[in-house]
Formats: sequence, C-alpha cells, structure tokens
Amino acid sequence: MKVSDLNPAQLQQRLQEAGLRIRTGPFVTRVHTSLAAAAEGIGLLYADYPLAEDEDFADFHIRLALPDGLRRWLRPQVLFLYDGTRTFKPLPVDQAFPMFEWGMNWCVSSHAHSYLIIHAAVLEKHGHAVILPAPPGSGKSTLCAALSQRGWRLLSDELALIRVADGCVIPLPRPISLKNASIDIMRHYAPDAVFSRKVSDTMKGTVAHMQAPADSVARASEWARPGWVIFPRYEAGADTHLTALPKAHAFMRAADNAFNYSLLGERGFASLAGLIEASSCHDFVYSKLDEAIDVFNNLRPAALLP
Amino acid sequence: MIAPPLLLQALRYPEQLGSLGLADWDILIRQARKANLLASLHARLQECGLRKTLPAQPREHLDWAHALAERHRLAVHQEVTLIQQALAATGVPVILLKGAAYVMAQLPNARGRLFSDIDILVPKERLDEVEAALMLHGWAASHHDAYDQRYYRTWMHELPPMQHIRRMTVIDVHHAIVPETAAVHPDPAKLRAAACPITGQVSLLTLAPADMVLHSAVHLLHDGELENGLRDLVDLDALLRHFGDEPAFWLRLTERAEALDLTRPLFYALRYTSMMLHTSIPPDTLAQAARLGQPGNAMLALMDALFLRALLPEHASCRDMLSGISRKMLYVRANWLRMPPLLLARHLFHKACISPKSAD
Amino acid sequence: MKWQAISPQSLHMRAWGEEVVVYDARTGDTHLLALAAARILAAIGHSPANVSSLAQTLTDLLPDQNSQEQAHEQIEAMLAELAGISLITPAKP
Repeated sequence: MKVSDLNPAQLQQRLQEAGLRIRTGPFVTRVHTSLAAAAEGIGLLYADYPLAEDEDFADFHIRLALPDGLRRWLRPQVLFLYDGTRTFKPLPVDQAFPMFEWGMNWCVSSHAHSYLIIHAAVLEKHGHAVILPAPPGSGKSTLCAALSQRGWRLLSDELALIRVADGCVIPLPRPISLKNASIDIMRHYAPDAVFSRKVSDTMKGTVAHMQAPADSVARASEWARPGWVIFPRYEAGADTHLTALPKAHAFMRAADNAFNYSLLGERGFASLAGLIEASSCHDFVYSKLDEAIDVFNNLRPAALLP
Repeated sequence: MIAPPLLLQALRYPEQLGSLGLADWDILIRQARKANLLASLHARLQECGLRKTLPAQPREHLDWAHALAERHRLAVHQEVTLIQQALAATGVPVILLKGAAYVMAQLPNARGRLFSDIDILVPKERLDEVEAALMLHGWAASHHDAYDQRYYRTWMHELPPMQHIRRMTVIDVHHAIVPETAAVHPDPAKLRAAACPITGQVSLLTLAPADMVLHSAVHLLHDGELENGLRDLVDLDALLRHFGDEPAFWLRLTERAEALDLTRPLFYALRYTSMMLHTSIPPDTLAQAARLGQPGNAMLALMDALFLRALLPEHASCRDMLSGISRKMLYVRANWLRMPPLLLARHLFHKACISPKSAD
Repeated sequence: MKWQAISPQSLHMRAWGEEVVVYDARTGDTHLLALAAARILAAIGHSPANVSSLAQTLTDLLPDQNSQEQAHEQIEAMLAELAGISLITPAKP
C-alpha cells in the first residue's frame, strides 16, 4: 500500500493519530503532525512511497508540532521533535515541509553508522553508481535533478550511503531539494515533474522539492556498485570539462565531505578506500545542463574499459 | 509506581531479550537511546551472545550506538595520553576518575559509554602547577566570570573546566571528590594513599576498587543533573559486579565508607542498584550499610519516591505525573548537599541574573 | 640521529600512483603523503633509521641529478614534516 492510496482525510488522520509509517530506502519513519503545510507536502511528494503499516519497528520517530505559548499563535513556528526531543531551533510554520526534509536527512546522517555517509548526490545506471560530493553552491542538486530526468536512477540527492559491511551503494531516494534559480530551471527542464510549492526566506533562500521519479522509489531496494566519484562545480559561462583526479586527492576530498568518516575510524578508512579504489575519480566543471548530461551519458565504468 | 520500563528489565536480564517482539524492541531502543544506554545495551547483549540472534532492525540500531561508543573510547585513550604527556614534567601523581579510569583500566563498564569531560584527581597543593602545565600544553581556562572562578576554586572541589584550544576537549581537575562546602568530607589524602597503578600505563592511577564505587555513589546522589542518573546507576551496578567477585571486596566497601564519611551515599547506592537493577549484593553488606547509613523512615520514604522516579529514563513511555517534580526536587536537593542553603540561594540567584547562558 | 614511528602498528596505508593516504588509528587522523614520505614512514616503522640509511631505500624515488647532500636535505625536510604531524619521533639512543 502506498501513501497515494490514502485520501487526504485518511492521510490527515494517520498523521494526527497513530502516525504515518513511510519506508524510504532501508529506513522506516513514523511521522506525526497536525500541520497542514507538512501534510500537504508529504501527501504530494511521498505519493509513491510504500506505507510500512504492518511494521512494528520504526527507525525514526518524528513529530512536527506547534510550540506551546505565544509562538503557537503569533508568527507561528514549527518544531521538529525527534522521539520527543527538540533537535533544532523552531522555524516559521510556513517552512514545515522543508524542515521535515532537513530533519529526515539529519536522522540518517546522525545515526546510521553502519553506512559511510557522504554528503553527495548519487545516481545509478547499468548497476554502477556515480557519486557527486559537493559543498553547498556547487550546483550538485540541479545536476542531480537533471540526471534523474534523463535516464539515471536517483539514489539520493543528499546522502550517499556506502554500506560498511560490503561496500554496496544503498539507495535512499527522497524528494530532491532545489534552491532559488534552480527551481525554475528544473521546472523548465522537467515540465511533467511534480514540485512542492516554493517556500521563501529560509536559511537557504527560496526552496522547493521535486518529487523523486516513481521508478527510483519502486527500485529503492536495488543496491548499486561503485562506478564514479565526480566533484561537480557549476561555473557560469564555463566550458564543460571532465578531468581525471588523482585518487588520493579524491579520497581526502570525499572524506572531507563525509558526515561520519571520522566517527567510523578504521572501518571508515577502509570503506572509503574501497570506494575510491573501485571508482573512476574526476573533477567536473559545467555551465550548460545539456552538455553536462551528454558527458555523463558517455561515462563508462572503469571495469568495462579496455 | 509504574511498572518497570522495558529498559530496566533489559538491563537486569539481557539474556531474556531473545524472545522480545519488534513492537517492544521499538520502545526499548528508544528508552535506551534517551537514557544514553543504547551502547551499553549492545555491550550486554554481545557479552551474553545474543546480539547475533536479534532481529535485523534493532540490531542495526545497537550497532550504530556501538560505533559511536567505540569512537569515544578511542578519543579518551588519545586524550589521556596527551594529558599524561602534559603533566609528566610536574611529577604530580595523576589519578583518573570515572569514565577515563574505566577506559584506561579496561573495566567492563568502559564498553558502551559516551564521554564528555576527562576527570582527574590531584593533590590540592599541586593545583597551580597542574593548571600551569596544562595551559602550557594548550588547555585554556573557561568560566572567566570572577564569580564562577570563585565558585569553583573556593567552594567546589575542582578547577573550572579547562578546554583544549585545538582539540576542544575538556578536562576537569579535582582535588577532592566532594565539594568543600558539602556536609561530608571524605579525606582526599586517604583516597590518594590507596590509589592503584594501571597495568601497562606509566604514572597513571585509579582509585582503589572500594573507593571507585564510593565515588560513583557520591556522584550519583550529589550530582544536580539526573539526566544520566540511570546511566550512573548502571555504572555502579557494573563496578559492583566486577569487583564483587572477590569476597573481601564487600567488607572493604563498608569499612571504607565509614573511613571516608560516605556511609549515606553507600546506603542509597546499594539500595537503588538492588531495587532497580537487581544487582546481587550480599545480605550482610546490605545490613551493614543500613546500620551505618540508613536515614530516618520519613526521609527514606521521600528519597525512594524521588529517586525511583527520577532515575527512570526520561522518555515519554516512562513518565508518570510525579516524574517532572521529582527531577526538580532532586536538583535542588543535590545543590543543597553541595552548598549550605545561604550560599545556594546566592549562587542560583547569581547564575540566573548574571550568567544566563549557563542556565540550569 | 635515528627516527622511529610513534605507533607503527596503528598505521593503515593505501597508495594510488605517487600518493599515499595514511590512517593513524591511535589518533584518528588521516594524512595525505607523497610516496617518498610514505616509504620513509614505512621504513622507520619497521625499524628506526637515520637519514643515510633512508637515502639508500629511496634511490629510485629521488631524482638522479640530486647530489647526496640534496637528497639528505629532502629527506630531513620530510622527516620534519612527519614529526610535525605526530607520526614519528627521534628514537631513544
């Protein structure tokens, strides 16, 4: 059963009472909220996601709630509660859905230490994963969104999960977050895709989320092998350029972009070394999306090269 | 009183968790995480061989907590080594306290523990030397407010916490295990005289086993913040089980409690570990501890009501109406134990008005 | 003067081309070293050594036109750096 099988009234009731249990990749999250802004975003962008109704165990327990006191009414705020504990500063209630998304990311990156978690977009084609680590402002999300619309299966737009036990790249497909100019770029690029409404004045500017393609959600249990680690950089007017990156450098930069590399200690080192060893590593500069897509579509896994 | 939460049952009898259903695992994992005991639960399940047999999802969560605790253990090792190097030239004997002691002495309760500060005990007359040596090696004083400085140096039993400027780690340098202003006065010289070297570690010491237990008892009952109350009780339980294997330990425990003026904390520690965690304590020892340290009936009833609630995990599934009030009363009580009432009022008032960022 | 690795059994290395990443399990630090520096580290991790004996193990890595003096200078510089990141220390006589 999927989220879309619930009508709005049923969805609202679940969210307010027993909680809505959604499966995203390897995780089950139980969500409680009575906020319309959050319910609306969840109903729209999580339509294709399986409900975990019969699951007795949830990995994360989240509530989006109004605070007690003045800020419930006056310029109302929303709180993110992780199993009853306030984990972040309150945000304006208008930002309830982005807060939900950021909170969901936090749940995984703060806890799931059976994975090496790299702050990166990750997509798959022919069984091989391309990992795009990037600090904010690198244009990774736009590139990720575009690739997901042109034949690449989305594994995640924010969190690359490398399973420590075996090195597999594990999907966690969720709505793709876009900011400012990228929102309209992607609306134009993918006119049939589903978008949440824009939310302005967040700490990241104006944000919106694009629904993950149904195929990527349906195939969320299909893991991928490492293929490429590519550091993207958007530069207005630049020529599209893919250059080889020495692996030791790729290692250090990927470690810099990982949430729990240091926490995992020796196993983190071994996991990342395994990933880099098995991947073709590059720097990538681009300004035109179509050219970027072409470069990616011409990638061949190192294992298959003559 | 409400039925013992799942977490208490799990800590008492981890070997019974093999048959727990997933809905109960969901609650248990969350109670344990809230009480900072998830990694300890992993350690207990590993010890009794059950970890491999658990359902995949709860096992994942236990493994996640274990990964974090292991990293902490590594960090403590490193930090203690650097502290040792910083203080080597002073020749001051350094006694490790609490978590750092458990890790370096490889005691069972080191597994699954998370750490914030490193605590050491040094002679009061060497404090200045120690402070200077630490500053030379990159630790800086915190709490620059003159009142806070005086609070720590005059009334408490420690220097203001020092933070390393590069590593951001914190060290608490104690000269006694109980504040100067408290009603009881365990003699630090006696503690230092009985301190034991750590095998394989040059110039590092821990308190003697009975003293380590008594320090843990004092900490549990005199510390203002009870968030880690159950965690501290689990520590006590682990220490008692480890040292209690040796029959002579129990007699030594009550003797030392008398010698160090800590008979009341010992009474409570043995009472609450046996009541909440079913720690097995020789009846003779319980009787002797009661003879030496049991309070009057009215006080005992009150303390039972307060502690047995406040020591429960602070999770929604463990609350009853009184729990919040219990916690608050114990906070006031703990401060009362540490400072005479007049000073306490002044301290809390000062804190409220002048240092809002360190609000309780 | 001989040098020794502080904790050779804690070191994990992976080499790609001319560069090596090193993880020190004792401190949790990760370092990026040139191949020559990594080889020095591995050598003195095996047994303490001085500059002259290290120069012999590195002949294939140091340019041919270097005089022995230049080679020793380069090795001294690398030793200083390795000491600076707490991987090595002067060996006790």
